[in-house]
Amino acid sequence: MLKYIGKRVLLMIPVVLGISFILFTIMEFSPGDPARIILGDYATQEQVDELREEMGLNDAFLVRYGRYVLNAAQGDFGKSYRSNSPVVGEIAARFPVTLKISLMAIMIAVLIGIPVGIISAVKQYSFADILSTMAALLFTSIPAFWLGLLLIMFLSVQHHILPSVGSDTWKHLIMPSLSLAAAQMATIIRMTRSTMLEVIRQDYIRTAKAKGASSRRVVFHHAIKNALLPVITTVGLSVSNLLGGALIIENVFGISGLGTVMVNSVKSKDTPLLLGSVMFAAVVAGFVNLGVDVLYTYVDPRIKAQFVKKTKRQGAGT
Amino acid sequence: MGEHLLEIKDLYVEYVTDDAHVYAVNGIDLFLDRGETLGLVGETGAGKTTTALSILKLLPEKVGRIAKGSILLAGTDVTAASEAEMRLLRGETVSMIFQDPMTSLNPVLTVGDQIAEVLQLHKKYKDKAGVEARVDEILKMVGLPPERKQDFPHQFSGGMKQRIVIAIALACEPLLLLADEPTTALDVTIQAQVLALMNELKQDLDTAMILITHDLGVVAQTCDRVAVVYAGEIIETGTVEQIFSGDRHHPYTVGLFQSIPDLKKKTRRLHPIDGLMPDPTDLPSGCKFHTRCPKCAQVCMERRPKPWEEDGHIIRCHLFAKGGPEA
Ligand SMILES: Nc1ncnc2c1ncn2[C@@H]1O[C@H](COP(=O)(O)OP(=O)(O)OP(=O)(O)O)[C@@H](O)[C@H]1O
Ligand SMILES: [Mg+2]
Repeated sequence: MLKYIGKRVLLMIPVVLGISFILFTIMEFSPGDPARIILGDYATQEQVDELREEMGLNDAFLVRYGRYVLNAAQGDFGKSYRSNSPVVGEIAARFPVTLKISLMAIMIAVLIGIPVGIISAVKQYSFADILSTMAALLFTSIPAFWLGLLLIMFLSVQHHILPSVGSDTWKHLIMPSLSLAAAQMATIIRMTRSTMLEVIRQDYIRTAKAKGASSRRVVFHHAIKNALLPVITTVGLSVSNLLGGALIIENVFGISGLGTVMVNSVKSKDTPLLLGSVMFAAVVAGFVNLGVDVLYTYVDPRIKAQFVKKTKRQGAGT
Repeated sequence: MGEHLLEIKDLYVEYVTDDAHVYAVNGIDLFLDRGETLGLVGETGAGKTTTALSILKLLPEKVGRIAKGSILLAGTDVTAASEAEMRLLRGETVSMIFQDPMTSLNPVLTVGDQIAEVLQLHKKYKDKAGVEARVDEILKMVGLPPERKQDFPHQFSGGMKQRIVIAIALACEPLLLLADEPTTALDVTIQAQVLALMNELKQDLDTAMILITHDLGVVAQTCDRVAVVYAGEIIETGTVEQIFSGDRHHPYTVGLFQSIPDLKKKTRRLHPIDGLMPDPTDLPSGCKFHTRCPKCAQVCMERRPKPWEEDGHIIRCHLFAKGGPEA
C-alpha cells in the first residue's frame, strides 16, 4: 500500500511540471511587461530596463523556465511581482478561506446528496423521487455564479439575513458554500440514486430478503455500502471541481481566497504567484484523489485484497 | 390447518412490464410433506424459479405478482400474509438456495457475517458466542474450514461459494428448502459432492426440499416425487418410480426422457422434441404443448386437458382424460 501511495505521489511531479510549463508559456505570450507592472506607470524606461536585467527577464525563455523549476524544486517559488512578498506566504494566507468554503460545500453536498439519492432510489417513482430528480436536474443546469447572485439578492438584499461580501464570520461563508455545493450535490444525488437502484436489483439483496431481513436492514446493512463505492469516486472528483468553482464564487462574494489570487495574478501578469497558486491547487486535488483511492481500498474488500499480502490458507477440499 | 407442509393450489403468476405481460405460472397444484423431496424439472423459462420465489413471496417488486391461487406453508397462507409475517417465515421455516452462487453473496460482507445474519435475525442464540459457534459448526458441516469465515466472497471458488449459500440456507434448519439448480454452476465432480452433502444434511435435519433442476439423473438420485413443468403448468407428476419406469406418460415427458443422450442405444438426435416452448407472453389455446406434440388432436388445440390421476400419478393430457375435456 505504501509503495502504491509513493508511486502516486511521484506521478504528480510530471503533472505539476506540465501545468507549470503550459502556464509559463501562456504568460510569456500574453502582453505586458512585469518590470513595468512592478515599477508603475511613472518609472522611466531606464529603470524598467535595469529591473528587467536584474530579474533575468532578458534571458531566453527556456533558461528562465529552467531556473524557475530548479528554484521551485528547492522550495523557492519566487516572489509575487506585485506585492514583492514570497509566493508561499501569499498562498498560505489566502488558502484557508478557500479550504473553508470548499469543505463546507462538500459537506453540504455529501450530507444532503447521499441521503436524498438513497431515498430517491428506495422510493423509486414516488413523489419524493420525482422532486429530487427534478431538483438535481435544476442544480446541475444552474451556473454557480448565478445561483450566488440569486442568493445575494434574496437573502442579503431583500431580507438582510446574511452578509453578501467578505469572509469575516462563518455567516459570510454560508452563501458561497451553498452556491458552490449545489452542482456537486446534484451530481452526488444522481450518482447515489443510480448506483443504489443498480444494487437493490442484485441477487445478494434477494438473498438478504430470503433470510428474513427487513427492508430497512436490507438498505442499510446490505445495499448502502455497495452503492456508496462508486459514489466515493464521485465525491473525490467533486472536490477537484470545487477548487475550480471556488475561483468564480470567491469573486462573486468578494472573498480573497486562492481563487481571487489566481484571477488577480492573471490580470497583473504576476507569473510566480499564478504558477505557485495553480500548482498548489493541482497538488491539493491530486492528494484528495489519492486519499479517495486509498479510502476505496479500505471499503471494498475486493480491491483491498490486491494490496494486502496474500496469506495462504488451507482450502476446502475441492 | 392443512396436513401438508406446503400446498399450492391453482397458482397463477404474472410479470407485468412496460412492454410485455408474461404468464409465467399458469395453474400449478402441488404439495409437499415433511422430509420429502420433490424434483421440479422442465425447460428453461418453464416457470420453476418463479414458483419458488412465489413461495417466499419474493417476486420482483412491482413487476411480478401472484394473480390467482393459494400457497399454504406450515399453516400460513403466503398469498395473504403480511410482509412482517413473511419475514418470520423466510430463513427460518423456508429458505432458498438461489440459482447463481456467484452473485448470491454480498461482496462487501464476510461470509461469517452473512451466515450469522440469518441466525441473529431469527434470534436463534442469546449471545454472540452462540452464534459464532453455530457458524463454525455449519461451515464444518458443508466442508469448509471455520477459520475462513472472516474471508470475503471473492476469496472463494464457485463450488465453495455454493457451499456457503447452502450453509446460509440450512443455518436455521428450515422445514422447507427451495434449491434452485444448486449444482448447475458447478463442475461434475463438485456437483456430485454438493448433492451428496445436501442429501446428508436433509436426512440429518429432516428438511423437505423442492429441487429444481434440468438434470433427470439428479432427480433419480435424490427425489421422492417429480413434477414436470411446461409453460407454467405441471403437465405430469408422480413418484420417481411412476415417472421413470411407469408406462403411461405425457408426450412431453416422453420427449424429455428421449432427449438424454443414451450411449447404449446410439440415438443420433439430441433434441427429439421439435420446436421451442411457447412464448409466455402469447400462450397457445388448449393444451400448451399441442404446438410441439407428436400426438396432437383437434381437441388439444381447443381445450385445456383435465388431469388424469392414478395412485397420485397425475397427467394433464387429452390422451388420458377419460372424463372428457375440461370446460
Ligand atoms: N423479472 C421478470 N420480468 C419479466 N419476466 C420474467 C421475469 N423473471 C422471469 N420472467 C419470465 O418468466 C418466465 C419464467 O421464468 P423462470 O425464471 O421462472 O423460469 P425457469 O423455469 O426458472 O427457467 P431456468 O431453467 O432458465 O431457470 C420466463 O419466460 C421469463 O422470461
Ligand atoms: Mg430458474
